[in-house]
Amino acid sequence: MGEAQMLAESKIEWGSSDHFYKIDEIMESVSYFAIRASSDLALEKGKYPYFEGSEWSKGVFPIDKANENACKLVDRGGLFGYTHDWNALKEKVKSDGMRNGYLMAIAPTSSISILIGTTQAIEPIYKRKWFEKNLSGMIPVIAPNLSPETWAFYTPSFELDQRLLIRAGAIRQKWIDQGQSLNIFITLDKASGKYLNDIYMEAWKFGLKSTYYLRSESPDTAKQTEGVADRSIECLSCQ
Amino acid sequence: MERKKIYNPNSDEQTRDRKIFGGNPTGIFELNDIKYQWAYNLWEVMLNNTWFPKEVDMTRDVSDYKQLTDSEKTAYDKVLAQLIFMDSLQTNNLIDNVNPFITSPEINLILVRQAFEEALHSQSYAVMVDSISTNSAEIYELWRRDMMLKHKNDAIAQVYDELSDNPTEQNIVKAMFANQILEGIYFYSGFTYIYTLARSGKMLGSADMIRFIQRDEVTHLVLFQNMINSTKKERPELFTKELLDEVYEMFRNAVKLESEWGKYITGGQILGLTNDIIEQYIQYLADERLKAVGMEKLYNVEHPIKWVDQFSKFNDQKANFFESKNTNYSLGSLDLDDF
Repeated sequence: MGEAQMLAESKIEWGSSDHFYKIDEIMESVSYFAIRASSDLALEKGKYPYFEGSEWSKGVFPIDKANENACKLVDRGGLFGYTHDWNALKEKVKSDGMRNGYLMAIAPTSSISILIGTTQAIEPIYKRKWFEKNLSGMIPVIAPNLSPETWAFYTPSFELDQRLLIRAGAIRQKWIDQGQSLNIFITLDKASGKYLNDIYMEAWKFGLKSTYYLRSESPDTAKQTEGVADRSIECLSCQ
Repeated sequence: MERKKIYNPNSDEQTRDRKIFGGNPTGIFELNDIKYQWAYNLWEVMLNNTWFPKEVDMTRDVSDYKQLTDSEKTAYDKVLAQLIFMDSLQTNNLIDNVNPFITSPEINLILVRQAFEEALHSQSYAVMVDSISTNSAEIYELWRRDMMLKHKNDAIAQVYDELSDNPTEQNIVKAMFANQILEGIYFYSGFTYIYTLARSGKMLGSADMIRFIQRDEVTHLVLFQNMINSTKKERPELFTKELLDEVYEMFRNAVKLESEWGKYITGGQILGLTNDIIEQYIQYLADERLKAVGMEKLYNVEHPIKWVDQFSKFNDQKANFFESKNTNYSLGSLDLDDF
């Protein structure tokens, strides 16, 4: 939770290579500590029943089965680029086991992120200011710590090339065994068959396990009709 | 003026000679060749806006309504009763009064769509009444007992009656302004009241319903604004000082009527809506409507409740799909030409 806030406060542009490196590091740590914690739990409470024969038991972790295209997005120096000692963890898992067969997914956290005052999960902000509409009504929300300094780094989701969301998703996906709630945002002027096809085909090519909602817009009456003259008048000179 | 013929084979009117009214159309809807491009664009937007009242979840409103204060309940009932009247009137008015004199097929097209939408709104009120009241006749019959409501309804209907009794060109133009007043002023104290309730977390289903309705009303407003502006170019001689004075007078009366109505329904008992706010808001709306058709503002006042605009701006809202109805979509607008 809070990826967009972290980026804005560190003045990292959403979808930049700095962003991609940063989340690769973070997701590596999340993956490492989650697996280690589950393995510690196995010591305390026992392994899950089907551990023997599982990928975990063979030392095969999500990162070992990561999508090739996704792996090319960030190069932190190959085998030597990891922050954590994965070989040691693999040995630990082989001997201690795992408490969980399935371990890591990224939840949407749209309501709780607002309650605690950060941004939603892994998502770019919806807008810099918006109304969250849920069971309690409409709640005005402003991006956390919005200031002249962070303004430019809080790019609203609709303004981003959605293929960047897919690529960021692909980087996170390398480290986790389950899906992530990755929403796609599309403005009406960009809603074309080709663009949508590109987005979802890339999601497949980069090995994303899931995408979530496709959010769109209401038509803007003023935009569609303003300044549209009668044809007779436009053509007065050529008649 | 005569009603247009629905089939007129002797006409040889060219597209560029089409007129808002007083033209000579063949009766064939030739839509590959259009004069009023704004009308066709508007048609597309109206189709994109398609929604259905039964999609809106009213279940929580049933219990919310029971928790409202007596003043809140009374105001809710009256707002609903008034909206019911206006959409009933408008469905028939557009088809029976206005459309027969409009001689451009692309504009006939959107008037028919507008009438359909007004009918759809009548259905939404039925859904709303049904969910809050065990005796729906109480709300539907309110106009017989409530003289303020009767008075407002009579005043609104009067301009349209004039047109149907005496369909002159001047009366058509006046009816266009009357539509602007209806769509752009008379609906708004009702809408604002429902939003005020929703702002404090009450009757959220109703507010969703009203938001959908308002999304439609915005297109209706643009429709008549464009008809007025196009008529101005086609028939400038109709916009005499006398006629414009009459129009200003219509706006002044509307502001008076609507402010009185707003104060009457809220009775000074609704948190967030004082008499001053209501009056200033209605004045502000009148100025906006006048400005949109190139006329002078009458009041020059500030918008006193800007939150209302944000409340009805769909694209600034993010709906939790599990907890409320999403209003941000555009039906049938995907462009597949590049695919």
